[in-house]
Amino acid sequence: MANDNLNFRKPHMTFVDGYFYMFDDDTDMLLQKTDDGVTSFSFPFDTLISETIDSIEHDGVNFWSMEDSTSASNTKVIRRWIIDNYACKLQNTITLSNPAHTFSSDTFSVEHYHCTISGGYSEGDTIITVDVDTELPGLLQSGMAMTIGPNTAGRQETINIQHVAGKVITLADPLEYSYINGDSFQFYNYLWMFNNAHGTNTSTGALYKINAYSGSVIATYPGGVYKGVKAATFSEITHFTELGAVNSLMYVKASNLLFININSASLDYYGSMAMDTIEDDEVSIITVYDLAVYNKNVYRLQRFATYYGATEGWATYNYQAATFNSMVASIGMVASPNIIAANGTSVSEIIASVRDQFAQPIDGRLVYFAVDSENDGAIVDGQEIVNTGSGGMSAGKAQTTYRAGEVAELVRILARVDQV
Amino acid sequence: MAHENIRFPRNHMAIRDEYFYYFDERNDTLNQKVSDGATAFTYPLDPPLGGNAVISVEYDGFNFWTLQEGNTSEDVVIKKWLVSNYICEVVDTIELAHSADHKFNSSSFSLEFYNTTLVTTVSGRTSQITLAGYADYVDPGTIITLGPNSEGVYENVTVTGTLNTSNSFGLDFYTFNTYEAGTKVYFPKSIWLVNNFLYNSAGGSLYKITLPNKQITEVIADEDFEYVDASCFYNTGSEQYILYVLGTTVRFLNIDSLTNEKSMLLDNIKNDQSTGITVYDIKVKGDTLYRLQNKATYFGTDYTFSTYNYQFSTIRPFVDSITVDVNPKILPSNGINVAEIQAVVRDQFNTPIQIKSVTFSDSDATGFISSTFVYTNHYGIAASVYKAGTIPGNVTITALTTQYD
Repeated sequence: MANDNLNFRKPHMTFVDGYFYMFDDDTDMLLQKTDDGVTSFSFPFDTLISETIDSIEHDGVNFWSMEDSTSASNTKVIRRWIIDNYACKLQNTITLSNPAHTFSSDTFSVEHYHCTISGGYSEGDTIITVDVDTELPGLLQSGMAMTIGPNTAGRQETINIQHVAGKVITLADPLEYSYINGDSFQFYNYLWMFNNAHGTNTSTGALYKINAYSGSVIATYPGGVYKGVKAATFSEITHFTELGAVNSLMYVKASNLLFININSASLDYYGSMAMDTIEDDEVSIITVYDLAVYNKNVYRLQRFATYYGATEGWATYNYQAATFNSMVASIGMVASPNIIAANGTSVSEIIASVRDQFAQPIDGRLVYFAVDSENDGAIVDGQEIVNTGSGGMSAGKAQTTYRAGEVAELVRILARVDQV
Repeated sequence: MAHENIRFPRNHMAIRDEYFYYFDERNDTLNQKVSDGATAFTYPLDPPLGGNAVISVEYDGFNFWTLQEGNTSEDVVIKKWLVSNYICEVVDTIELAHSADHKFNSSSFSLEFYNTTLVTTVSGRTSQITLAGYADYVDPGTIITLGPNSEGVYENVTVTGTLNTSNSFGLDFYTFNTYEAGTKVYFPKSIWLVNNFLYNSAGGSLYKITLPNKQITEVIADEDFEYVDASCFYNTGSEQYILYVLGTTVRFLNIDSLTNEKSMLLDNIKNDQSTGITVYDIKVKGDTLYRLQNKATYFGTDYTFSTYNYQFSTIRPFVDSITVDVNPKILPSNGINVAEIQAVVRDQFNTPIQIKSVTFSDSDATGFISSTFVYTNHYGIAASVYKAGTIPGNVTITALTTQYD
């Protein structure tokens, strides 16, 4: 069975409502594909592009694209597009060019938020209240824009913000349509660009926070980990159970997906997730060119993938799926002592440590132990419930005992955990 | 059964809990693997290694430490890394650059470090701590890591001096957090660098570099160090050693007396019984010595791997050899004469094993052994007597012993 799916010809992707999208500079179309690679629709650009797009994002309303400038070096161009009347229409262009900065980037994302309105509003109203957590209005400021709707008639509109006071929003222009309690309210505020330089220092990287309306650089966060990043996205993440729902900037570094808390001063991480982007030599890392998140799913755009121990490559770019659901990702094992006499009586304590893709211990799972030996080794207590820290064991660990046989041999202990 | 296990692409290794680690300069990651070679997790490095491969790695219970070549082949760089918030970042760098007095070229280093616990609870905003052990190794200026506390928090503190009791120490500042009694305590003491130079000339040496002031305080001249690829720190609780592999033995250098107190035989010899197998790194976990090799011999068959994998040796005394001597070796078959039998039992350190049961047997249908079940004495010797039979012929005396755990 062939494992290619989207067959994208360009190294970028976004995912909206079950469809995958690609900006095709060859045909000047925004292509919409189903997950088996069939083109389900296309939207012609109203403004032609000549550079291959590096990265695209969708904020719930707008598509965003990033490309190299055709006219100047060390310059990136970020554009905002909207699908309107069966065409993909350019709304705004931000050109990042500054002699104090070397703009060299492969990926970016758009910080955006989705909430609902509180109460009903009629045509002509200019003040609305949003039903959000308290921190969200602080992210929405005068001069930004919000999109409200669709309403029951399928209408939506985008209006600039005049003033924000808590959860109460004053609009610069009156509503054109009526809306009811619970209708959607969305806005974007900042761009986050992973730059391969900090200022003009190309020996390190930096994460740039950019005003999504004016294109001005708000802040730069230097760090080698931000250099060479090719895939990033932004989304609300709910799988960190102890944190609740968080709005996270995500990027791929090596074979992990890192979750940045953009509200922390030093850009701490909520977590990190191991992904199966390693070739069958167990060393080489498969490049992830773009990233999209929907619900519990992560979609990675790649040209190579490893399926059940064998790596295959394609001429096109295809998605690989990962999940935010906690899954058994590794079982670490240690035997103590790991050299014992083959006398039929000596024993070794076996400890297995079970962790998920976030490197967090998994409790409450049965670990099945078995012996892979050539003779008569035996497992004592063939299975045991993973304890949760009792008996001096750390969480996520299971323990059993191996008793030696009477023939000198190399014995391998196997541990298996069923995914629930 | 395949004999590869961790399948490391690089010839250095650290061990933490049930996981094995290496630094990959191609992907700029700290890779965490399980014992069958599957990658469990990766930590991006900040800053990146920039293609400068890591030569050797150590783990002190809290930080990783790496050895890399410096700007020239006569310089080395040692970096201290902290895995924090899913990133592995450099928190300190020691640059050993060549000078008129010293040149540095190394394949291995060891980190002398100590792990203990707090005796009493340290409240937040306290400038005093009391350690359960290794107080003699703490000096003014020693940087100690406390944690994790019940909140999962760590903190570094700097010692200013000893207080009223020898295991209580004053700090140069107040602690920020509360640490309960029993909280873990870590502190590195010295770096022991195996150098292919002796001062600024050819010849081997072992450099002691004290921390945190990063000063060279000892240079041990020994040309043997020129051929050392693997070394590590080993703490028995009462004695501290630098272990280093020389040929097919591991030597135990006592860091207080600076003498080789023990030597342990390794099974890193090919099936031809003469060709040694290179050991690229060693680590001690519990009573096991892990050796990183790309070749190994299993039950008389040599194997070569395309990757680096660990092999075990045990450090706890283990029956390694038993030899039998009979005196006299020729007796008349008269049913009267006797020969003394001595079996000597030794461990992998070539040290006699006491109070070890030895079972004797013979192949003589008419002769016999007086005591067939004997314990070894202080010298590892189990003695018995064979009384001749009445039928002339060769007689085989067999002695059998085993390890019990």
